[in-house]
Amino acid sequence: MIERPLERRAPLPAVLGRRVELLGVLACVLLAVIAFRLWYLQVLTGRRDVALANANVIRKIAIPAPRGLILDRNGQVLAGVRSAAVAAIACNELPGSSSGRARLYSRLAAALNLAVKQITKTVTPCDSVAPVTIEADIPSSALIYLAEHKANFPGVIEEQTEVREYPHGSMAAQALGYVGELSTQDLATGNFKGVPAGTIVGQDGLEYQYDRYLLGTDGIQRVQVNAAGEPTGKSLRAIEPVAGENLETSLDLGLEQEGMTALEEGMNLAHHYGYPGTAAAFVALDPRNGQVLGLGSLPSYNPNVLSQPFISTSEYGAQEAGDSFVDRATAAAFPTGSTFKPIAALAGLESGLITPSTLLGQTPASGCLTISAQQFCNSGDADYGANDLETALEISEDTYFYDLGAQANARGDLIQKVAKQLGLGAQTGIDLPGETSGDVPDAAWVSQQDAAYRAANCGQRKHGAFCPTGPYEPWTIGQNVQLATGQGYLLATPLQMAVAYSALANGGYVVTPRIGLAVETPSGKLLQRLPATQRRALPAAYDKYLTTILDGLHLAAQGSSGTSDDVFASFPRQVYGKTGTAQTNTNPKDDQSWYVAYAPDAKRPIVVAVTVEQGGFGDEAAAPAARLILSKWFGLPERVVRGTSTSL
Amino acid sequence: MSVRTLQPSARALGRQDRAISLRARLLTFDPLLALAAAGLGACSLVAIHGVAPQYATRQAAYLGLGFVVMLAASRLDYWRLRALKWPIYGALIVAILLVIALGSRVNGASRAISLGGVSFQASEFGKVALIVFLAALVADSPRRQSARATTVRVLGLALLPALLVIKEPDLGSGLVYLVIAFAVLYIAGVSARQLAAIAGAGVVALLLALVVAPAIGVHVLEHYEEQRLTGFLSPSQNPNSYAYQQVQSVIAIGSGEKTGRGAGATQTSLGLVGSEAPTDFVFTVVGERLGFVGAAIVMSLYALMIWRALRIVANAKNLFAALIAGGAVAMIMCQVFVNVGMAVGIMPITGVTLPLMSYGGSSVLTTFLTLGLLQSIYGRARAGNASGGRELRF
Repeated sequence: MIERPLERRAPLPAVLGRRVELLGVLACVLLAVIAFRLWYLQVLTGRRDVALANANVIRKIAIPAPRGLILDRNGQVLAGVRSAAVAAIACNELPGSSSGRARLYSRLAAALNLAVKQITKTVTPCDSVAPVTIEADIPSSALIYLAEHKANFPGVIEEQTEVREYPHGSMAAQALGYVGELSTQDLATGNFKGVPAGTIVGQDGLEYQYDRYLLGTDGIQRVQVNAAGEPTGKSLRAIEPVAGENLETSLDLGLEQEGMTALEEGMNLAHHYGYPGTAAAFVALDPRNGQVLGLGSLPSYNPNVLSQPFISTSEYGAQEAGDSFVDRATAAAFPTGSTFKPIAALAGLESGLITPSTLLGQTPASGCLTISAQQFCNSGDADYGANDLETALEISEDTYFYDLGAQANARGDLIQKVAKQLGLGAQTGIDLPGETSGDVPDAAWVSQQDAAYRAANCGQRKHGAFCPTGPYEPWTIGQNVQLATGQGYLLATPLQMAVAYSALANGGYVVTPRIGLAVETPSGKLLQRLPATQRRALPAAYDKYLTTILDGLHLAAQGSSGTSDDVFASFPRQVYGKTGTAQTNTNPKDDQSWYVAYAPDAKRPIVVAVTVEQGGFGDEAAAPAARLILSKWFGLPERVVRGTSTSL
Repeated sequence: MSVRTLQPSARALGRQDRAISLRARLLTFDPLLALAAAGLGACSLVAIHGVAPQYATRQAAYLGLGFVVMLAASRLDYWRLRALKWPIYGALIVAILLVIALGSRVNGASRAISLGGVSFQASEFGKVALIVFLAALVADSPRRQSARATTVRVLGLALLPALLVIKEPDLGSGLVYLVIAFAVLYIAGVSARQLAAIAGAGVVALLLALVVAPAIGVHVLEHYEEQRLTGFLSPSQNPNSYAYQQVQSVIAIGSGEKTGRGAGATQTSLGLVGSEAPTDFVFTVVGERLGFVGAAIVMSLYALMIWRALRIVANAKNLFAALIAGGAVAMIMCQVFVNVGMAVGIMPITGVTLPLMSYGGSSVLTTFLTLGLLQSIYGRARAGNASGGRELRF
């Protein structure tokens, strides 16, 4: 190296050493800061960031689980699933310009017969990961159109999905229910705890009741996306959906179908005799254990329509017509008319008020009794004279039961007690939502109803405010007289009557009706028997009276003077049945037609309750319908046998 | 030279000469500084290969070329650069002006000019040019010139390229220029009072540019630069904001935990820190893929590099050398701590590259050139020691 002249070399500053040391200290401090920061981020709180990083790039898309089947007692499908085409929009393939999208949506609306507004609403917000379903269950014609004009529908894709199918349409719709998206209101009810909003869940009937089994568990498709939200194409392990479990029910498809036919037939007969015949319901029970063999209500709705993901208001309104959502077999209570008489009879017998041979019902003249200055008459003012219990049941003699009701009133709530023991006035506990309890009126009940009515309608006005008289009159002997014939404030569901008759028929056991029997895997392996039906025994002392009552019921159905003899005399099996014709107001056109029957069999006994709203006499509309159901059950020719009895 | 006590053969003599000259050459070269550079280069390749494999080959080429540049520069007699200070400064200003005038615009900023297919980022090379120029300026200042006059000249001549570079806009490099000027004054022994005044003026200027001027509608900086500088104070969930990138960078580093996520890293590879993962956010890539262990190794290599560089400053045998080395060490420290600080969320985003780690030829070559100068100073200091100069103390 060539040495340079010393004078050209500027001197090193005296502080250089100190300053370099200071710079070193600064470097150490900064290094320490970075090191502590890294330690904090990576060692102390790293876990949290791992979760954040994962959530950043993994989108979860639900894979709907196929819903479990609802099967009848023989394994026939009552509610199944089928594959359906779904039109969806893949948002990342949509036209870039908003006008382009608007034109696409209007083309799509025309092709699928939808409103443009609905498509726009469904598609916003649009995630590029999961295609947004805009219409499910597309008809094949529309599918073909979309496929042929693919270039006109950028971003529109066809997917296959499994949808609920009810192969028998409106049959037993209220019992089966329907499915739909879980709404936020439903989330609050607690029945769907832990189920995410938007999941397809049961909305009514068995679908609702047993949703936890039928639902299954949705799978999760995990898609990795980049910062722009576009899928990276990397495949991640999906969590496969777990199909819902199948529900095996006690229903019998054949009986169910015949029941629906029978209800229509009953309504037709009502029309034939000049009654409006607007609605009808039936229940068929196995009296031994309460298994529901059939259950139906008309008017009905088509659950296939209601289960669609998108349903227009007008479609919904059409389905709802005639209060079709009300299950008239379990959720509607009616005055029972004379079908209540066996219950009143049992009350009279067990209280010792009457014996089987006690003669009652003698009228002074013209078939009417005067009780507490009120006239109570037989149907058509017929004068049957004094009769014993069996005959009174056979001919459905009102004056016999008026007498009984009047005498019972002096002894308190004799009839009410037995009615309640037989399950009236309380829910039967069937495994369906929305069951009603009906009413069994007595003095306390009437005053309670009146107080409730006044509280609801009269308010808290001072100075003796005017309050209109409510519909509930104070208890009189006349009300008990009414009750003995199933009139007045008494209300019961067809299911309650079937349970009460089952108790008469099975030797005194009040059964809890049950539809769900077992839960099985999608492949049919039994997973779980649902809790066996509960039976509640009537007091043992009742046993000896049941025979008498059943004899009376047998005479009523098949005795020479029986009220439904013209319908059941020709029936080749033993039938114990009672007609009912309940006045719902002063207009005889509005009479509720009833028939409750028990048909014994060593292996498959059955109790059937049928009612037709505004159907006229029990023998005219309900009894022939009941006969059709019994015929089906026992494999006999299903023949409409008309009844013309105008007895109650 | 050792005294010969024996009469060796001619062949043996030749061998001995070669051995001596090798030892001499090794003596004039700091192997630890080179080791740190090589280690960081390797880390850079690992990180870039992980996050953007398509860049790995080019980065390897830049690193290889850089190593050659460092070796060449270490052989260079830095003393000669003193005479070239004005041509160097002139070239620096012209290059920056050329970039502003002709530069290819990338992301709205013209920072590079293309020369025969090679993109040349003048502001990067400007760093080393400015170090040499300012060091020569101070070293050549006449004895009678007052310290204050020297300070003013240094600041004025550094401010011109700094402001031009900020206008490019390349805020990060501009700030590095200012740090270099400050470091040169610091090493030159400018009084603490003057240094404090300069620092105070810097803070005031920053506040003016970031707070006062935008408030009255004058935007000294580009809008995105303002956002980047102020954004880290208010982390954002808006994916389009730079603050969001920083939030994601912190998450990425945290998610690396102790040993890293390796190929399972998603934050950097899926673009959550923007497209700058191989460049400005390369430390984030290391933190996410290699975890605390990897980040600690990288920081240790920088610590080693800074230690060796400081040692060279302390042992420089003349003011010019001390100033060059001081400017170099300030440049490296500034870039490391600003870049890593940004990645871990304790410093604003300024667009400063991480020396030797960030992808990019200009940055890599500039750093190696700087290291080469440090090696040259080291070598001259050693040679000087052998002839009775300053002693090595560390």
